[in-house]
Amino acid sequence: MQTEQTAPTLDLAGNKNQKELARRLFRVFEAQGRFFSSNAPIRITLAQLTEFMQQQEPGNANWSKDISSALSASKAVFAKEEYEGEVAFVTSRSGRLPGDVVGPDQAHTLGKRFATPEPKRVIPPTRKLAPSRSTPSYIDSPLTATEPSLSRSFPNLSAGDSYVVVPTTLPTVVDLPVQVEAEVEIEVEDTLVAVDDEPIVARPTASATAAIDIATAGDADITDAVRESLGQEMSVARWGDLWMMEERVQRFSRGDLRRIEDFLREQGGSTTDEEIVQDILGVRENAGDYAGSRFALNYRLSRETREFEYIGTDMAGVWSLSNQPSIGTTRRKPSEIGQDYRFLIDYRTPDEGLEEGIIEHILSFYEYTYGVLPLDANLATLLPKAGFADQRAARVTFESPQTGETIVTELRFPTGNRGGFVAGLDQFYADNLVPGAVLTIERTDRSNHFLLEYFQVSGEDRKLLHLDERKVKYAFRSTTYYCATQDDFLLSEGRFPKLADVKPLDDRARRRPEQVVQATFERIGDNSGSADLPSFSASFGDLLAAANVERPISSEYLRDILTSGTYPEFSADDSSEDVYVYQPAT
Amino acid sequence: MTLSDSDLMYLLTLLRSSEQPMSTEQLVQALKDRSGS
Repeated sequence: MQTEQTAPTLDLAGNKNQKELARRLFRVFEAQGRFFSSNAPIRITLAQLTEFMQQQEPGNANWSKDISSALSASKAVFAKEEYEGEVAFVTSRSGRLPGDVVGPDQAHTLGKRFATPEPKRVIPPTRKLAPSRSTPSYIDSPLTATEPSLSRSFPNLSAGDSYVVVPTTLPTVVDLPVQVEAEVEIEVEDTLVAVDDEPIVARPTASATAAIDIATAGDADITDAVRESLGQEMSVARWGDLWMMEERVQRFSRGDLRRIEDFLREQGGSTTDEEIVQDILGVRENAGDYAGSRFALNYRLSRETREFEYIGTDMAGVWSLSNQPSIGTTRRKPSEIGQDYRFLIDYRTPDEGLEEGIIEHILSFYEYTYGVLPLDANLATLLPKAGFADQRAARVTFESPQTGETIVTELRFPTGNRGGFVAGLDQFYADNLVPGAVLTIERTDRSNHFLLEYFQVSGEDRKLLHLDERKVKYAFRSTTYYCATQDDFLLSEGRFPKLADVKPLDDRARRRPEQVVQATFERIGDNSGSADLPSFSASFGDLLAAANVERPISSEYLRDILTSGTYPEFSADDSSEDVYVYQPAT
Repeated sequence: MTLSDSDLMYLLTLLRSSEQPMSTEQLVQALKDRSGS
């Protein structure tokens, strides 16, 4: 069967020459989007159009200006866009702006037909089933709210109607359906009816399905809703904060992947997505499909976990070969450090009045020892987000203007029960700082590169706390340092003399913050009780500095431990300001 | 909070018609333009 294809009527404006030029260029757009649907946007940059016309008619030196004015005049056909300084024009094969179609004219879109009116979703009848057996624990019910494609909508079953209900247990299909009664006709009453004591379709709670009202909601809420909803769609691919239909994402052959793997090996194990796209895939930075190629590379490689590991961020793509050695201390496993920082998951509110793009941080003994920085609420305002939901770590660099060195670190993202942290700063700390040093961390124009500064001072000598790894004891050593410190966090012999020769806590005690606080009271507190009934008191500042010798405890976390009432052995000393008492249970 | 089915379908249609990746910001703006807010 042949169908007649008619040329669209173009509503062109401008003078005669501009109309003629616009008509010629529209044919270029048509050729570019010949396989597009009639209303899909076709986008060509001004530079590409100019290059085309210069090839056609090299005599005109002002093609860029002529094209821009001709297309800008026909506002009903072409829309002008500017992105990162590059001008592009958009139209569709129908000769109208793509926005005209996705805006008011939605009478026959797929989305409209699906959504208006919202259809009742009745569970279809199934094959004849044998008496069911229990679903193994490793198989999710197909009707659970966690299943992506079903999780956002449930049927509203009205009372009095008749429905076919399918058991939620795993069916067994048999050859002879005699004696089998698997479909159960029930009357839906005010409450949902269950088979085998299991709810058939859980009526979702209001909060689980509350749809946002775009007209009244704020940008932040809409953004969250977009991320949440699209994140559940299996047909949508995501990298960082970019989205694309999975079916539209370019695919790579095994040969492409092998060449990328070889390239990574040549580059020392890691390189940026931009270098791969340009050097291996041969897509230039100013090409129209450059952004799509970057997205495709990052998305497709993220599926090849045996060969590749993503170590970039939500904005900067960086790839390494898988199973590369991790960056950071060997004194403590990254998973253990992550568990030490677990409390950070519960403390997510940054300090008020933070300066945009810069934070100040006081280095604790724990951070100094293991060369880490906590991904706390303050640092999270600066550091980048993960590019993928299941990403383990990202490569982040810190530049020290004082020493002129650039430190390559690993940003470990938080997981379900582990807090996030930056690892790999141990050598820099050991060479330049002491616990108690004041650091500033400042954002740069690169999302994975930061300035790490400290205040330089003339040399100061003090006896400061160290961990003697040979004797496995804390000890005070004369130390000369050249960085500004905050006295509250400085662990000097004059302040904490009783820490000398103390053995570190074992790992089991370290994992329990309240036991660390108890030990800290015993190590640094004043005992106003007796040997049988001790009562240790210590100021909050001293407790905070000394507790952070064993494990990370933030100021808010420590205060919660001391005052929440969960641990009755701790109480505030009413006679002194910000002093706390520990009375061991008898 | 999630999007209504209608809004979600709209975004999926928008993504389906786009050859290039779209940012969350662009999608939010598209939803706002559509609702007239």
